[in-house]
Amino acid sequence: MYVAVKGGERAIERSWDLLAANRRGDEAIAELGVDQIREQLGLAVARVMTEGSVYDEELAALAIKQAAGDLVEAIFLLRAYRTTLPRFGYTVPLDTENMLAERRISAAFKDIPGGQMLGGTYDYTQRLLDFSLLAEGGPRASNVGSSKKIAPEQEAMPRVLALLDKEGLIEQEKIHADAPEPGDLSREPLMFPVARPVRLQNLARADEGFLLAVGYATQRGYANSHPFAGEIRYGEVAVELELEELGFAVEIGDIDITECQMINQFAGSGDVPPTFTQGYGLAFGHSERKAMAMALVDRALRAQELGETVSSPTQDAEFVLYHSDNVEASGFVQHLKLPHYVDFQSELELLRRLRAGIEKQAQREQAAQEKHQAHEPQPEPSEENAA
Amino acid sequence: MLPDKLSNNLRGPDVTSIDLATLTPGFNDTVHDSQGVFRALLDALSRPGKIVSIDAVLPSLEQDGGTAAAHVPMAAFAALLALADYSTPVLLQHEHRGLSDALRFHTGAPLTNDHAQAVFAYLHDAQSLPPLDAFSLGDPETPESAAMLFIRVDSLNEGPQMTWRGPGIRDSQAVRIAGVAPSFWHERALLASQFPCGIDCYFVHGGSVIGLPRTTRVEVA
Amino acid sequence: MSTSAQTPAPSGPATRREWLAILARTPRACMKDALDAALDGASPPEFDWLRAPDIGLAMVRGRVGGSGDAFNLGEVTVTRATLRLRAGEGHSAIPAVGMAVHMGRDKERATLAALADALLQTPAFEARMQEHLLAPLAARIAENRAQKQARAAGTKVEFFTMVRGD
Repeated sequence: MYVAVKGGERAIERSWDLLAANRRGDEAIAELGVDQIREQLGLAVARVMTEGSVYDEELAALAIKQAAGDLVEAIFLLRAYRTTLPRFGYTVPLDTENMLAERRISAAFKDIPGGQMLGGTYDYTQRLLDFSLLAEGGPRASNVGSSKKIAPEQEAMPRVLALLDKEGLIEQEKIHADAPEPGDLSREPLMFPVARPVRLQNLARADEGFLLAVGYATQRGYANSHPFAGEIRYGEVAVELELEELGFAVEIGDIDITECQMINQFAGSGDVPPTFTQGYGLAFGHSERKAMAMALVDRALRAQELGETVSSPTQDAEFVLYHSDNVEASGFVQHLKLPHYVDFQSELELLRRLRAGIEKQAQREQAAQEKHQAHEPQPEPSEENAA
Repeated sequence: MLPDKLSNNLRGPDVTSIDLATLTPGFNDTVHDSQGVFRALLDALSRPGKIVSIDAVLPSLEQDGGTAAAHVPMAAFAALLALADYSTPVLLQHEHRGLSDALRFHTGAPLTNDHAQAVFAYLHDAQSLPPLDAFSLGDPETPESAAMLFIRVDSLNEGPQMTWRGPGIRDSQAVRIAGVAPSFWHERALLASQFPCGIDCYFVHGGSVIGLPRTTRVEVA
Repeated sequence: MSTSAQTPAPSGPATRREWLAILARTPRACMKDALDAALDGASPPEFDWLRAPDIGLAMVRGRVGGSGDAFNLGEVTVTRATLRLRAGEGHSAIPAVGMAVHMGRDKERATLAALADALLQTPAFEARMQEHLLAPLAARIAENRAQKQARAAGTKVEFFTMVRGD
């Protein structure tokens, strides 16, 4: 029960002031610009956009600044902000096969059309702190080819899993002509059983840490997955919106997106022969860890529809999907800070009564024991007994 | 609940494209105007029988060669602009190019001929209304998903004497509305037993409305 | 279907779908400069708003597995505007309707883009717009793409296998 407590307005206002001062830090040091965050903390911006569920780099950067770097708080800010804007509609589904890729790799197949392109990644760095970054004006990215020579148009990069499936051993995701409109968690509450499109929406905005842990668990035996990274891509994809007044779809811009397809074993069931099944991850910005974890969890949650034995919490949609949203989770965990004075008081009273009851009972037993001893003469302690 | 197919408008063979050359503009200040209209509609439905005027300033919808009688009352246009969006199919009793184009453009609302699908309906001819039970009455878990009707009438203070009672009315309210077919009141009375399911209506004339929620009991003299 | 991530090759005048895509990818400053250059001192015709610039969200959809049924991924901010030129001398009988829909929250950019769209549909301005507005903007976009490709191309792996001599 929440108690309506009055008073404290002044304290709250002073708290805001202190918060702002803490956020600003030492005034002698230059203030952080939103554009600096946007440009130079791009991976934080990517996470905030993905989990805040709004692709707008400037807004995400602003939220990060305002939240003093607390990304979950920034995500909360972005989620709140989106409720103030009207919804114009739904885009045409992204055509990720036609991505202008900066990075494209496959761990399952070595020679793929379009090649393996590493892009900019931390994967090959030594993970040693680079103290040259402490000094202002560190090494420039001048080694990157901003050369004048014309690069050939990027080779086409067809989907690895489709192209290299000559024997038909890899499950291919197809469009179903009679598929209903996908549910939308931003409009309707999560209702079970959950269809795969809605599961993916939930996972896309899920907390990266939680997904990472659950994904990791699936690799350690909680769910029977033996995954391979079939293909991972990061790059720019066009966004299209159908406009009634034009009668056709127009491109409204490009977004950076990370996509991951995991290939997993599937031993087959009564009706379905053994085949490789897919798990899918998709996230805003450069978010590989997120996209990979999402793909692992997506596959685990398909256990039921694939006729596998559901043996682990990672395969339990209720467990995973209800606890994946960090805004919800943070809200409930942190709500414990709200005044719970009255229920605690009543707990205290209950505890006292129970204690008193036990004491009284102990006293009664003690008294009964003594009374009993008084009636029966005790044997004299003798040397024999003491032995 | 989202309609089954959101983009039907673009795929239906009989859907005409929006005529931008003759499109009627919408609200000047979408945010504040639609808030004001919403307040007025809320007020009308909360106090059934009270005549509420809508302050929004909107250009009037023209119909090709239409007379004043063919005009869509401003209050109906404003109400639909304020309430409809891409997830609320709208049914127009009679085809009205100007209104349907304006609704599709300004609100993104899909138009439908299926009474059961309609979330909002504009009924221009109160003398020959479609059967009420053709519309969605909502269901016990989501009674609010019932249709809401906007019925154009000839007058909001002339016509057969009625007495309205129920939530939002102290004791009783005398109401006169002209031009509504008597069968409407019979059909509506039959729906009462299905509460919480039912239909909510607005009677519209010019820039004013009278709200009639499903909970009001109507006595026709 | 979508020619996503591909800008139109400069062969022949851009179609409306193509030029709307070009305008959507042009930042405000570039748009302003290009429009001024294309108008070359002439004042743009007056217009009325059918829909004044407003900002909202569009829900981005992905496909299950990349190739399957659609799912809702997350929203993107969008600015849109629609205007109708006023009929006037030298302009076409039916005044053009110009529109802009693009990612981001920039009402001024939407205004400029909608105006450009309307002018591109107006015979009196069309040729100048194609040559002095669209062509340079399209070239800018193509150049940006080429640069991105060049940077990424350097990271492509050239595998070589060690052949054990026996």
